[in-house]
Formats: sequence, C-alpha cells, structure tokens
Amino acid sequence: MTWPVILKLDSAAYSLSAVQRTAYALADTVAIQIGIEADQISLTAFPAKTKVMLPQEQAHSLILQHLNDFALRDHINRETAGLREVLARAALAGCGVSR
Amino acid sequence: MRGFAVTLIATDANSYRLLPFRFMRLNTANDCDILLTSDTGEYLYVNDAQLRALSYFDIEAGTSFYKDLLARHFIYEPTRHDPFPEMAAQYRSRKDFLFQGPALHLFVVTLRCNHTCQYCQVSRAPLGGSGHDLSEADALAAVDRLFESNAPALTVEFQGGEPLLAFERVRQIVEWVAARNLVEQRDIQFVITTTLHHLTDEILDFAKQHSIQFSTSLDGPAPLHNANRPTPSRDSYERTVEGIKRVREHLGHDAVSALTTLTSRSLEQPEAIIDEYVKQGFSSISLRPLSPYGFASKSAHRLDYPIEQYLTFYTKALTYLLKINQQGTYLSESYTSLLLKNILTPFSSGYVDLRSPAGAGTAALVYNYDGYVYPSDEARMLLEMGEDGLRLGTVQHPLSELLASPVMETLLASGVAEALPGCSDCALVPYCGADPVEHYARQGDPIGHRLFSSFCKKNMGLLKHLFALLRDGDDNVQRVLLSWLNRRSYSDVRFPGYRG
Repeated sequence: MTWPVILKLDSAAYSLSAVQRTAYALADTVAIQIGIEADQISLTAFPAKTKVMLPQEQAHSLILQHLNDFALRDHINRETAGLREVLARAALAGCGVSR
Repeated sequence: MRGFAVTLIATDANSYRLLPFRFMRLNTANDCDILLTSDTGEYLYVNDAQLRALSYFDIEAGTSFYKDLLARHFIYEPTRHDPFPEMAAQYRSRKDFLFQGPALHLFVVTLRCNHTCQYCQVSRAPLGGSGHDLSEADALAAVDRLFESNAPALTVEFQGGEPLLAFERVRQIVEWVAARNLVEQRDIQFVITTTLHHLTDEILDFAKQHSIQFSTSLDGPAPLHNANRPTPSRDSYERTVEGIKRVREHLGHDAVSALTTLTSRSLEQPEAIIDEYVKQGFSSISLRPLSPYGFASKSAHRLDYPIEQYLTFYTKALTYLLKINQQGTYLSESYTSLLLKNILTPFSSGYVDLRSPAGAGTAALVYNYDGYVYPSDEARMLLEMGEDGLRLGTVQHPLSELLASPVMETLLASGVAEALPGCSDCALVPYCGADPVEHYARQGDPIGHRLFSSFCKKNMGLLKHLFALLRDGDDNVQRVLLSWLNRRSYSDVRFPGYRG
C-alpha cells in the first residue's frame, strides 16, 4: 500500500459529524480531505508534516478506530440527548458571572 | 434540589437507560484500557466489549459491573430511581466557583526588579526606573474593585517586578484593605510574591501583624537557580535561601512557599531540583513548565522546550517524588495535588487554569501598575509582548463594567471547555479547563486547535499518567497520592482507596 489512505464510507453507518471529528482528532497525524458523494462519504488521508514516516497500514487502522469511536459517541449522544442540558440547568440555577 | 423536576420515561423494555458519559482510550497495555467519565466527575475503566455492551443495553442487571455503572451514574433505571437531584448536586459542587465573583486580586505594585532573568514572564524595569509603580489613586480604586466582588474569601496578592521595591504601596494597600474589612468581614489572605532579596525587619514585622504569606521562586540548587536568575552580584540563590530562613524565623515555617520555573536546563535534573526542596524543608513543590509570555517568548529559542520533553521530565520527577515520600519525606507536587482533587473528590480544585468556564476574569483580576485591569496575570504579560487586546478596562471602572467588557465576552465564549472542539468529546474534560488566554498567546486564537495546544498536551499527558497510576500503581503509590490529596503524612494513610 502507498499513501494516501482512501476510505469510502456508507453515510448510514458514519455521520458527517463523526467523520469531521475524526479529521480534527487526527490532525497532528494525518491530514484528511472529506468529500460527500450521494450516500457515501469519502476520506483521503495524507501523513501530517511531522508524521511522514507513519506506515500507511497504521494510519488506516487509526482512522478506522477513530471513525468507529466517534460513531459510538454519536450513538451515546443520541441516547442521552438533552440530559446534559437538563443537568447543567438544574445544577447551575442562580449562578452568574457578573458579580 | 428545590424547584427541580424531571420526568423520566423509559422508551423500551431495557431495564436501564444511559446517562451522558465520555470515553477515551488510554493506550496502555492494560486489559481495561478505556476510561469512562461522567459529567459529575465519576470514572471507570472498561474494555472494548464492556463499552459496547454498555452502549447497546446489553449489561446484565445485578452483575457487579452493572452495579458499578449504576452507582457512578453512567446508567439509571427509570422505573426505580431518579438520579438527577443527586447528580445536579454533584455537578453544582464541581462548579461552585460560578456562584461567586473574583476571589484572587493581584496588585502589580511595580515593574522594577533587580533580576535580569531571560525567561521572565512579566518583563521588568530597572531598579531606579520611573513610571513603573502603581499610583496611590489607582491603588485606592483597585481596593474598591476588590470589595465589589461578592466572594466571601479574598486573596490579595502583590506581584511585580519585585513588589518589595514598592513596599510603601504594599503597606498602604494592606492597611486600606484591613480597615475596610472591619466592616466587610471577609476572609482575606495577603500574599507577596517576591525574591525575598529586599526583606527588612520592618517588612517582616508588618507581615507578622497582617499574617502576610510569602511566595518565592526557587528553581533548584545554586548553580541552576543562579543561571536561571542572574543578578549583578550573582548570588540570587544565596539571598533567596537567606530570605526563606528569615521569614521562617519571624513568621513560622509555613509562612513561605516556593515555585519552580523550569527552563530547558532544568529538565535534565529533576532529582536535584527535588532534593533542593527537601533540603530547604518545603512540603510542596510546583513543577510548572515555562510560559510563553513576556521575555520568555523572546528567549524561547534558548530556554523553551517542546511540551513532550516537559512530560518526560514530569514523569521522572513524579516517580522520584513517589519514592522519597514512601521513604518518609513529605513533599507533594502541587499541580498533581490539584488534579487529584479534581479526579478524586466532588469538589473543584479552584485553580484558575483548570476551570471551565474559564477562570480568567471570573476568578482573578490583575490591577496593573499602569492602572489597567486584566483578567489574568498571563493576560497582562502579553502586554509586555506588545499585545494590549486583553484589557478589561481601568481600575476606575466598576467591577460590573469590567466583567461585562467585550474581552470578557470573548473569553467566556471561548472558555467553556465542554463546548470546545476536541474538548467536548474528551473524557478528561470534567477535570480540565479551557484557558483561552494561553491559547490566544500561543496560537493567536482563544479557542485554538487542541491537537496543537501545549495546554491540552500538558493536561492530557498529566491526567492520563495519573489515571494510569490510580489504576496500576501499587498500594504504596496510592497511599502517597492520597496523602497529597488529604495533606497528611504517608504513614497516616494506612490503606489505599479511591480506586475506579
């Protein structure tokens, strides 16, 4: 295998947000270009300037692990939607930073 | 909790529902390598299979794992228990700093200093320089601002330059504050941050009268300290150590504490620096990396270092500290103690840099020698780099106006870690902060990119190391960490605890 790493993802399995957060979280390792084509999201990843020696296979598995982790976070966030806000609103009622 | 009601509805046949949590891979060899954390600061180590089972409602009720998840508020049983009042109380406790105004008030009484430290964070003016002292009128107005904060406990810290070169102004401010406090009845602590080179008996007597604490800098043994802190007489170490002795003789052993500034040459000698603190009888050492401010930025090419190098140093230093503590010497690392408080207790450490929303301005205010007010010491240090954009206003503006300034709006908009890119998904966010001023200084943007942030790398490195120690460290290591948390001797902590 040679660089770049190219992935075509089913957008039913991975949200654009999960893909974008993966690109952010790996920005010091790989530079990722994201494209949207019909029901697919494409990723084209290049080694970051400081990681030119990174083996392509390692980059591939790292990207996949992050994608799967962010997809799982999406699921957790869906299951708990609104609860964080309820908690913060209840806990911080009456606080202010003006005084 | 008063006025708080939530209706919990089970949407399917699962016995439990998820509560908000974050997870992070620690990348260690341990089987349970994933850290789960809740917004209330609870944590648990799990493996991949457990994480998936938890997330997809496949944990069998009644198992010890299930009970752990329930007890730590990662899940709840809608038909049996409403966890929200308890969680809200925990959350409120972790964010209790939001319920009061700024508590730390720094008075920069002068920029004059006898040192010419290359890494100096605040710049300085020559000893006899004029126009670098806080005026009487501005000092008086700053005292008014101090008492406009509703914080019941206030810290008044004198900074410089070298504040003892403007001792008459320090004396005036302390006397004004003490007089006002006869009516205000706040809990007030005075601190002078000083080299201790200009101590006199008169200063020490005054300090005794007002229970003033001294905070000094001690960078390590004489060769290192003197190399870091040059003076014309090349005796900075000797004069500081003499000052420490004099303060202790007059005011007691604990009336003086010390901070370490780590230059690149310091990173080669963690044990020697720690040994120096043991020799001087300190019970706490602060191993803080160099900040990118003031002259430190101009000298960065010679003195600065990548944060990864600092983390290697910290790990070595902490290993050595854990060893000597187990041998009966009590010496805690202060930043580690703050992080442990954030991890192991339901309370906030209160440390300004580890707050979210950010502590700049909301927790601390700096009254600069020129009458301008800044949201943090770091913000005023940027001034000496030619950057005055972080001014809140002048000491003549009431506190309400200073805290409603556009700068504060910007800092708060970029100062909620839970809402920042990178941080919002990070399992360490309940224990960390946002520090927009640092990101502004380093990246020119108060949010910055977390992957390239020294603040993020530092805190993530330290927190991951501590979480690994809390999981994998033997009983003796746990006992030392608990002794730092509780400020008790190692021998007093007979059993380890607080394991996740």
